[in-house]
Amino acid sequence: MKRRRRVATALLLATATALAPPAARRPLTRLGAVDLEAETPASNIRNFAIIAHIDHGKSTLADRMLETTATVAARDMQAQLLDSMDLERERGITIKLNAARMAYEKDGEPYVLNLIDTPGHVDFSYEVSRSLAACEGALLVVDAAQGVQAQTLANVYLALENDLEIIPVLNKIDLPAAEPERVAEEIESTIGLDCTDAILASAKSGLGIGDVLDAIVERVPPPSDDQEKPTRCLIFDSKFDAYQGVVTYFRVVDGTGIAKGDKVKFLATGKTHDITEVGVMVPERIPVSDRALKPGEVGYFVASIKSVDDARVGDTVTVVKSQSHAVSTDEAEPLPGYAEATPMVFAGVFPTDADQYNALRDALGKLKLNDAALRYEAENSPAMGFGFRCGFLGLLHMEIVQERLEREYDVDLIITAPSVVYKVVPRQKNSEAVVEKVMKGEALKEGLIQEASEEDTPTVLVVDNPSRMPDKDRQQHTLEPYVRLEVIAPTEYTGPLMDLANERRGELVDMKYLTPTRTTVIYQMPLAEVITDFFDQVKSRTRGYASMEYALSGYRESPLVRLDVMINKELAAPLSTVVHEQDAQAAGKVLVRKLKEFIPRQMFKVPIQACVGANIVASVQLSAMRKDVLAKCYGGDISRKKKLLQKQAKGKKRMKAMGKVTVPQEAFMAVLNLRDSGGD
Amino acid sequence: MRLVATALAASALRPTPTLQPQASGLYAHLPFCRRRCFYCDFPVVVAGDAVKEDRVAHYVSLLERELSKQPRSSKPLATVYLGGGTPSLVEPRFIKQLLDAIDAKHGISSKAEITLECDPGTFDAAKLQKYVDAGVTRVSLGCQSFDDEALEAAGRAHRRQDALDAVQAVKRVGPRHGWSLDLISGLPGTTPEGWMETLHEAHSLNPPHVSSYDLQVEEGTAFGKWYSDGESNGRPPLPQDEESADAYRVASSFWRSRGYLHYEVSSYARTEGEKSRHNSAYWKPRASWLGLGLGAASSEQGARFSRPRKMKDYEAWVADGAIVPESSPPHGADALEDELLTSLRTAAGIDLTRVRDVYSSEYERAVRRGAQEAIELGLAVVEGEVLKLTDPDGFLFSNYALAAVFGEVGDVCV
Ligand SMILES: Nc1nc2c(ncn2[C@@H]2O[C@H](COP(=O)(O)OP(=O)(O)OP(=O)(O)O)[C@@H](O)[C@H]2O)c(=O)[nH]1
Ligand code: SF4
Ligand SMILES: [Mg+2]
Repeated sequence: MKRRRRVATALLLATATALAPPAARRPLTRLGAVDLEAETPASNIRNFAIIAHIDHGKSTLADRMLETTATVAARDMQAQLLDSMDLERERGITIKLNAARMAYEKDGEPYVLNLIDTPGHVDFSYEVSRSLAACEGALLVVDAAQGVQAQTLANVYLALENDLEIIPVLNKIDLPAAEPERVAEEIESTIGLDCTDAILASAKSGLGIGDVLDAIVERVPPPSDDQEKPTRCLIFDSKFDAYQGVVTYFRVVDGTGIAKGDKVKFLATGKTHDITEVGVMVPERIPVSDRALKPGEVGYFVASIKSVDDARVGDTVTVVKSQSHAVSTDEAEPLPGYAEATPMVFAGVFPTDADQYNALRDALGKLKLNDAALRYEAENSPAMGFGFRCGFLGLLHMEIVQERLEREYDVDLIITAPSVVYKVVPRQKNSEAVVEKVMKGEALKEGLIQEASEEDTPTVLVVDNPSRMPDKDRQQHTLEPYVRLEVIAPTEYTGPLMDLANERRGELVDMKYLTPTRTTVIYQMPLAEVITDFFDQVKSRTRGYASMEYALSGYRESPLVRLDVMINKELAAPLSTVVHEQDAQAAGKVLVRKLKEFIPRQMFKVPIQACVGANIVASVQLSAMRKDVLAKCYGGDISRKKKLLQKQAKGKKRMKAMGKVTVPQEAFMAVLNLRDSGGD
Repeated sequence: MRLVATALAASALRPTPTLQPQASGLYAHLPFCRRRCFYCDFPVVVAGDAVKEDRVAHYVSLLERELSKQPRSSKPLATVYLGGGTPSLVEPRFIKQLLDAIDAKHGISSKAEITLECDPGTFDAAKLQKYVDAGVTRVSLGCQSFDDEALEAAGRAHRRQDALDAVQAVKRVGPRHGWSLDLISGLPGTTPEGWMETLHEAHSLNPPHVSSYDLQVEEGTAFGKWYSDGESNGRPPLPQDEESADAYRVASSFWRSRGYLHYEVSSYARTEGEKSRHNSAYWKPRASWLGLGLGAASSEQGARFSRPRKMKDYEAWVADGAIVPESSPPHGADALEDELLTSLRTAAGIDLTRVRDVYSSEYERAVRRGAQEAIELGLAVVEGEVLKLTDPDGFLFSNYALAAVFGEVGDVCV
């Protein structure tokens, strides 16, 4: 048996409580803690991320490591401790990456282990890439009962791209259904990862945690330590803190390090700032006062930066002046960084109450401070008033932003149905060549207004709002984003899955047996078809046994048309949607039927029509409301009736007036799934 | 300016500090019923055809205990309403015991209107006479319909003939303050013709007062369960909204054309003097009335309190001293909403000058703004300075109109 001893040094209790960020959860008392002021040579530092499919136990494994290394005292422990956002705790999922520094001693040698816990949901895979760039190794957690799932594969590929040492951990072996040997074989055959040294663990019961920690020390390479080079730090996260301003999270890559008092430069913006605080996450932020953070170390700094835009994720920070340590005068090259997160879906976000527009703008600004992937720009429409067009990574991201805006910033919202970004190229000289380029993802002249230009290359119209899709009779090529979609499921469900994919305009690319009983199917599919109830359908057709992953693969030309809605003979632009030409009529029928369900009856008859251009493809009539009265107020007890009326008054507020008709939030989402699934 | 006005208004409205309730009326709840009607969500104790004496005795003693804990009313009561449940299931001696206890505690004015809710099939003339001897001066008769199929489909324990017999009994005894005939429109299985017949039959009985409710399908009731999915599942179908709206319009026109006063959404009186005095107090601003018994509501200048609706909870509450938590009367938007809700139910409407004086001109403007759409749609009118809902359309869409006014009133910042 290996001998293990915890590093128990100076108690940092006092500093911890005094300096814990005020907004964060209650300060953690620490039993054995790292002496943060002591320098650790790079050879004794290990930086690793925990990656896995959603719910395979990353955050729980992180809990056990924090506990075992006595980073967090037992009595301060709570499940998924690193998931500190209210929403994360409520939903039991990780949304943002979280870093923690741990001390660990192996064979008498003290080590510093920096862990980054990542989200498993496909919407947040961007967080995973950011985390991986700051690490040399990754724990690949696989649920030993569920086996390899779609995000397992996706995240492994990300880790491989980043050249990381991958340590497979078969988790949840406490479950009766766990089959670690089978899953190990599955990993070997699907990913080609050697599983002879895979660790068997139960993050729940604490089994195998020591082995995991040892493996990190033994197998993850230490960071390189080039003190000759100019100091370069990679920003992997930045957050806005109400008290400290922007807090920048970084990994020192090379140089002599970064310390309090240093003047640093952000290479992307060229701006310089004076650092007022440098520290590490354990997991709450603790400043180190007397030393520089050295290459390989992971930490944060505060430099009275007002906007996170000035501390962009992926940017490189270099030290230009220091009183405490030598600074190379060489010009620093920016680190590779990573691609910006590209929003995949767009939706209109409007305050229910026009007075709340400013509050919404402020709230979005503040959210954006901690959410680099969120996009927004002002939009206004006659029907919806002033609001914003927002870009999200996916539906979950959109849902989370909505919930945070409503909860944390107390603005009531109406959100229009999410849409993908279409591209339109006018048919003219050279347009075919431009279409080719759009499909290949090459950079082109893009605009928000379509102009048939005299020039040789037409401008590509970017449509992130369906109501802006030009009329179908225009001479144009219409293109839509496609994704490479991978669904893993037990083999017996392959048939129903393929049926579903075909209904959604999917094109089968590949089908493979992962094991004799599990299959993966790979499709090219329009993103627009995926951001509907697609995953719900996948789950229901596979009894919940499938997992899914997708990534943008490029644009393809499709015959697309704009489907408009007329309510009471007036165009309701926010309800417009883009559909495949062949589906227009069927989709129109479903849409008007759903709208009829959602739009409350008004005092007059209301025709609801779906049109393509001037063609009415479907129409229904909403009959007039006939009564709205609560006849009885028994024994003078009006409290209940009053509550009802207040609710009704509020409900009315949550609707938007389209002409004379008020339309509730649900109606805006009606366009989300326009397929007649019969039973819905 | 506005601030001053509001401050003044607020001080004018503060209750005069007194321990004695201002109420002039008392509502007492007698929860026993033979069975639970399918639409009913009142606090009810299902007792079968015969209520066990000891149960009633026990309940009445609870009421007496609650009564003993109440502060004495400052003036004798002008109205008492014994509602239920089915109070006429309770033996007259208990009613006498209860009325005597109320009289002993608060005093009941000799001219008081004392209403007893009675259900057909639970009493005869002799029994009713005993109620009258005990002090009852008015009967509210739960006929609901004269259509046996509708009665059956609603789970009522009585039939048409029981209702006719009951009316005869009431007429023979002739309570001093008359009687009210209660009807429900929109019951499952009713047709426009059936409703017309019920109205004619009701009119032939020449009731001094009519309460005509439009059926509300409430969650948690049998109807709520059966009809919530929009299907009738083999039962008599619920009339379409169109039909029940028409039933309401028809009733309004029917009674008014026969000289009845449609003085509140669901209430008609043959003459001014035959309006329900007790119920009318409910619709006054900042009303005060006492409550007694299971689920009963009471109000002290608009500060309402509802007693527990479950027998166990009510018993425990009484055992703990029947404490009505002190609360100050609502003010601002909250109070105005109460006032709107009650006043606009009545034909008298709400006086906008009063809204300005008591609340503020800002609130008055909000009320006018909120009512604008209703006025345009012909659901409301402003006559002089009084805002009223129209009859029948305004009443029929009273929620719609009120919700719009609430929306504006709730938005006034103070
Ligand atoms: N039985 C058992 N359950 C576990 C184990 N590890 C985690 N779980 C449970 O699995 C669920 C998901 O765990 P998390 O740690 O939140 O998973 P995650 O991978 O961080 O999830 P995301 O961050 O949302 O991707 C929780 O209910 C855990 O309690 C284990 O070893 N055994
Ligand atoms: S008789 Fe009246 S109180 Fe009793 S159950 Fe029927 S409706 Fe309810
Ligand atoms: Mg997690």
